[in-house]
Amino acid sequence: MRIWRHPSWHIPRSQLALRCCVVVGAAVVLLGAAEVGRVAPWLAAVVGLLTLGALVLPEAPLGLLLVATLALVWALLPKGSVTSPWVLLAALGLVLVHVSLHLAAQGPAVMRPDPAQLRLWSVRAVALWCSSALLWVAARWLRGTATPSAVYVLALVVLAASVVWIGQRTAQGPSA
Amino acid sequence: MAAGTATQWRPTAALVRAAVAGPVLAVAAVLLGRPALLVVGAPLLICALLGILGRPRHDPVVDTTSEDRALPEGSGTALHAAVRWTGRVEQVTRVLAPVDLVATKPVAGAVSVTPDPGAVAVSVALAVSPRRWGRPEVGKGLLAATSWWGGYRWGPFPTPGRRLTVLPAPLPFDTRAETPRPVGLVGANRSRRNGEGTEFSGIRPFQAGDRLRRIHWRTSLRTGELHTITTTAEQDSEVVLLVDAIADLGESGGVDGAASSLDTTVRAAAALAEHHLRTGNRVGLRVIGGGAQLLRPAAGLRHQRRILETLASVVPEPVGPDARVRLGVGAGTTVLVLSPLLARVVTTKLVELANRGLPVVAIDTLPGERPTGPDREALAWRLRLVERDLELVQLARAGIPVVAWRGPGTLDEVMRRLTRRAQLPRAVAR
Repeated sequence: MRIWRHPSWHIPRSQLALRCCVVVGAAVVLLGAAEVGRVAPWLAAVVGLLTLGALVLPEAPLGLLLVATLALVWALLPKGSVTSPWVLLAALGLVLVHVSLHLAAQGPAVMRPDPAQLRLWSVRAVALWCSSALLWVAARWLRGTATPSAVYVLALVVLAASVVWIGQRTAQGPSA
Repeated sequence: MAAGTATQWRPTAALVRAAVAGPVLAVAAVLLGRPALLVVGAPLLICALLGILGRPRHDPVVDTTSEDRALPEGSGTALHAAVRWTGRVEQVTRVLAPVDLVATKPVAGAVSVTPDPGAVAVSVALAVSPRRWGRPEVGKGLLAATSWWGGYRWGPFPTPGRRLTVLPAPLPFDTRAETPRPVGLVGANRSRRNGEGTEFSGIRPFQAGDRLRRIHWRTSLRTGELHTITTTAEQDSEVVLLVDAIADLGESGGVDGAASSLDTTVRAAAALAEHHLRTGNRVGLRVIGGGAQLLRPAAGLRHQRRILETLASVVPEPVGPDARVRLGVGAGTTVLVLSPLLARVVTTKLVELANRGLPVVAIDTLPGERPTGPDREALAWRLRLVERDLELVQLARAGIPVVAWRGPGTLDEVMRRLTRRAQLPRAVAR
């Protein structure tokens, strides 16, 4: 027999998991920055507050402020940090924050996210992180041999190629 | 038509985030000579580019439907929202506004659907189950669509509601007692007069015109004269249900929860109507308060449906003590009054009907819980209930039996007593 229940304000586990991903992503970005250089405590505190705000209101501009603050954390680090593998971890954290906030903002907190959307964005998140990894490998490879401008030109080429590739890949749907 | 001016697609928070942070990080990487910022910001830049590329050029078209317009309480129906679009839409979300005593599936009343790749339409279905009879408006809510890579969102826009007729689920009821005064033509109730029935009435000498198969041979042989068996005629009765919708007392928890006085009243009325129509009687309905609806006595399944629909539209509505209530009850009608018996106008009408010589039964539908505590409201309630007890004694003295609704067998004893009483000679005030 089908059991019916009245509407409740119970937040499903998948929504809680998405919000946990935001916290983990922000923490990973901070952790990577702390391994490469020094993170100002006040900046870490701001990130914490913004993360809490974004958890409650994923649709609000707090998410933008959170991402901007995380970027600021990395902008204040010493030069030459691109060779550190922690950059890749930071990129992963930022992707996690961005994608989790997007998925959490697709409906009210009591709504269970569509599993197809979760699969689709998991594939996309991996592809996005791969573009960062490609950039990182290219920058590290060219670091000793080329001028900085060459790194950026190469980066843009890799980025454009990534756009085309990811676009083609995701146009086929999550199961492709 | 230029894209972006006529449509209602708006950038999502994700697109704004990616479109601001991605380019800022890229520019900072170039200006500050820090490739690490480009590595970190590249995913956001890609997200922003793909989101902008996937902007739809036309608004979707939404059409909402429901599978049923009328359904019994406790059962479910699906509310569909068909969404059609051109371009790339990768997600449609629908959220229903919560309605009292209407359960939804999913429980949150919100669902998100990912259309198949290349699809240009999708149907978003949400199941609803009204837990209480009535006419709730369901389907009101919001609907939103998100474009490729979560770049743009259409809505959320309100979806229109649809009024459902939720029929009361008849409570379990059965009775083996007959109605006191069968006055119709063909039915299942034993009449006072003899006729073509099956119930044994007596044995009398044979008369011209009697059927041969009714000859009682044993008596005929003993007496030396032909005797025949007589049977009572079987006739239908006219039953009028008086539903007291002046007030709704107690908490209603729906079909699987606690029952308020009006819940018990309406569901018991549905059960009585179903029972009497099934046994071939004609059933009428009169609602006191709550729209003051009147259904003339009739028989058949269609009439049963009409009674259920009338009961579904009952809403509690006060009636003043001096209000003129026309009941439309004819002679020979059995009147079953379903009421918490707290309104004077109802008890007065009961006495009036009894004085007309009609068989009247009051079915008490007041919930069993009694207010306790020292506060004034509880005290006032207790005083009113004491008054009510006195009124019930007066009703009993006026010859009106009062029984509490308890399902099957509720009316057995009182109906038998009324049947016996109906067979006695009685002076009626005219």
